[in-house]
Amino acid sequence: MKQLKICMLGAFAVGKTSLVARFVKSVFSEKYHSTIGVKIDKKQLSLAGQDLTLVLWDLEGEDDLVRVQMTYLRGAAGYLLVVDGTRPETLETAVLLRRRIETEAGVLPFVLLLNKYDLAERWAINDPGLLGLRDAAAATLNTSAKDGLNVDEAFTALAQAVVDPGSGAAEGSA
Amino acid sequence: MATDASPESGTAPREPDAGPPGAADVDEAMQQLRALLVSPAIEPEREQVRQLREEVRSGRVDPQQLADVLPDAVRLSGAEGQRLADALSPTVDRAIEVSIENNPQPMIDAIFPIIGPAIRKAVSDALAKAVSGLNETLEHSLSLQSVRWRLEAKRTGKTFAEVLMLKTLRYRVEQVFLIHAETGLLLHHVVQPGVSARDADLVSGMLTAVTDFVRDSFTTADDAGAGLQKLRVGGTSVWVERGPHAVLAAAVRGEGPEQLREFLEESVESVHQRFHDELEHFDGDSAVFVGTEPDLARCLRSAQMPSRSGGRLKRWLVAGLLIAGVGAVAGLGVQSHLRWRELVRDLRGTRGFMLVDENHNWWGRSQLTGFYSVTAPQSPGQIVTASDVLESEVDSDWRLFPGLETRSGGNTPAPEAPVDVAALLDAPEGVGFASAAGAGGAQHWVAAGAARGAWLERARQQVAAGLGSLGPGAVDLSGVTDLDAGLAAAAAALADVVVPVPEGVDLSADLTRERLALAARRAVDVARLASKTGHRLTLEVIGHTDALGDSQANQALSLAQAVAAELRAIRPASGGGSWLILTRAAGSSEPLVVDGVTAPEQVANRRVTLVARLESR
Ligand SMILES: Nc1nc2c(ncn2[C@@H]2O[C@H](COP(=O)(O)OP(=O)(O)OP(=O)(O)O)[C@@H](O)[C@H]2O)c(=O)[nH]1
Ligand SMILES: [Mg+2]
Repeated sequence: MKQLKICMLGAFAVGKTSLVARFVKSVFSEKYHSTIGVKIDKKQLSLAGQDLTLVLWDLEGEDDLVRVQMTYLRGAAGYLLVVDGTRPETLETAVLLRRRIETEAGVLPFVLLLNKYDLAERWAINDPGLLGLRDAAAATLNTSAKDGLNVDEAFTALAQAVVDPGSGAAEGSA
Repeated sequence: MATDASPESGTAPREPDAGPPGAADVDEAMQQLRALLVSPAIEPEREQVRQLREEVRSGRVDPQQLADVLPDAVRLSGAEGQRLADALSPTVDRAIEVSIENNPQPMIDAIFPIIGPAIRKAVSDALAKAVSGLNETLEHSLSLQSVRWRLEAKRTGKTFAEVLMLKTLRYRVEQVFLIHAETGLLLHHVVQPGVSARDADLVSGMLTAVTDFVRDSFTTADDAGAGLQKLRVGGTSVWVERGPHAVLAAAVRGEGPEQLREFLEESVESVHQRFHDELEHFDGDSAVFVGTEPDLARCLRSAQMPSRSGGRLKRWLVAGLLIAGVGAVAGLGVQSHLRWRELVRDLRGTRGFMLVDENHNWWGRSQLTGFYSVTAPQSPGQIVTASDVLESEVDSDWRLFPGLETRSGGNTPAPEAPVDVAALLDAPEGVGFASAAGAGGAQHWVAAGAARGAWLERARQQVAAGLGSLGPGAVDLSGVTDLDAGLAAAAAALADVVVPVPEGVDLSADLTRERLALAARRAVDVARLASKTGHRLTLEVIGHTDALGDSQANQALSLAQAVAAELRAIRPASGGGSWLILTRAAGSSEPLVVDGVTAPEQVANRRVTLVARLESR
């Protein structure tokens, strides 16, 4: 069976670990345990009749003190770039992260996730181009690890973009 | 067609033996027959008949015809009984013998999938039986230990037998992971029967993350070793052996012996050898790597604890045999080591000497670095000559230091330096400083030893800028060897060695042996320096052949493998960290003598060269 290494990247507390937990185990917790280093999980997926195993590297979030080590991206097939829709500064972190990945690890397909969409009343991101990320991303999706909104779709879209780079992946309702 | 086919009857017609018809009829028939037989019109048929007779008599058979009938013949004969099998079996036996003598690998490959699991199952059954036997015995004994183990079994939820097995095993390799180096994805995984393994994909990823983390976090460490080699979690340690494309990780319970490292090295080498292309072009599909099972399973080893009570006689016997068997070799090693220690003690104890670094290498050359003073009673060379250590096996780097005063019996300069230069420069181990009054009473130091290039660079700048209260240039660093430059030089020297193999895969020619020894010595130099500078070494042994012979690629590979085997034999004693030896065939694509057309010129192309691939961590 084909395996793909996929990384979760974004600012701290945007919901990377929660998205993985929702995707792999269909659970959600309000508790926040910050990830240190990296945690690895996996899930099988069937894409157009082909079975795939996604090996998910849930990396620590980037903040003022922690800079994500780019070596964790070695051999990755693609990544999910996660933004917290209620904190606009996490979009800027995402832009910086992507720039660093492309200079240090190389250009990889990614899917942009605007997470915590269930907190619509506190939604704070309204730049339509999302600081240029929308064009570069294979897909952009509004997600919620809490409700499960677009979570499976997000991972599938990335797997799709990796396996078949030509296919224009679906654009979410952002 | 009875007339044609019967050789006994020749060309003569056979008398019909059926009841006699009328005599006239017979006569007429004979006439017709004769006319037919003597007629020139049937000459071609007569010729055919002659040929057939010839063939039958001489036993010559048309292979094509034989091939057509043979399968049926064999089938028929098989249906009839044993005879064919009996007749063939000596020939088949001999054929197999010859085939194995010439090249055992295909046979091993063919039977390993059958025998490997069977052996493993037998061993684990035997172990399980031994344990359950012990279990019963102990069930009734009330030793304190058995009670303690029983409690532990209760506490950990394991069966008593399991606890007992773990306690009485010295070590056991429980799982082996083959991990793709770049992605951290699992390529293959084997488990000792009965061991409950967690999800191997996740373990593989975590191990890679941990080794990446260690590599990134401690890159400045000057100490030896190439990357993470071992990590310990409770009673289990994970041994990591890295190859260019794949990493082998073995989960070992208990205290694994150092020889285990060799098995891991060999397995990594074999996997890289056999799956070179698949590893290079790995796209996430691990299906083909099922084929690495024999290489991984080979590492699933274990050893029983030597029993503490009883069997003393047997132990002595075994010890005696061991001493007799390997005593000679080990004795040489031990003696060589003792002699070296004595020399080092002499050097340390002699007034006027300051030993900075010493490195004993009982297979290759040993090193001595230090200062000596003109006031010393003897020169360093004299001390080495006077000792039992062979002078020709020592590389010495002694720097004469006029004002050096050392206390007899100590290693530190007598007048305690008021400024700690070593601390100011953050000097690594292996660099020593001797202080003396410089011109005009200014303090002055001379350094000796060996250090990383980066440190030297920084130290030179610091010294030039003036160190603490000292003026610029107070420390003479010219006596410190640059390890990185040394490594590059050693690697270049190794690449210069050409091992000629004039004939077959025969390494017995004098020049071949001489060059092989040179290559081995230089490889050990590279390994030692690589280990000191924190590089991972992969030695590539490349076979080249002439363009004359056929199947050059195979030939070249066998040359490389023969040389690699020699190098592997000396590797454990090399003193360096662990290194890999891989083989490659260059065929005749990289000829030494380009336009050699005559046989002797072509022979020069039959050679082995070595390349040291170094990867800093
Ligand atoms: N309402 C809501 N809360 C969420 C959602 N996703 C995550 N959270 C919460 O946000 C907090 C942080 O979530 P994590 O998944 O731990 O975030 P992370 O990105 O892994 O954080 P670090 O590991 O520190 O980088 C937790 O309290 C989660 O419960 C979401 O979709 N909706
Ligand atoms: Mg997290």
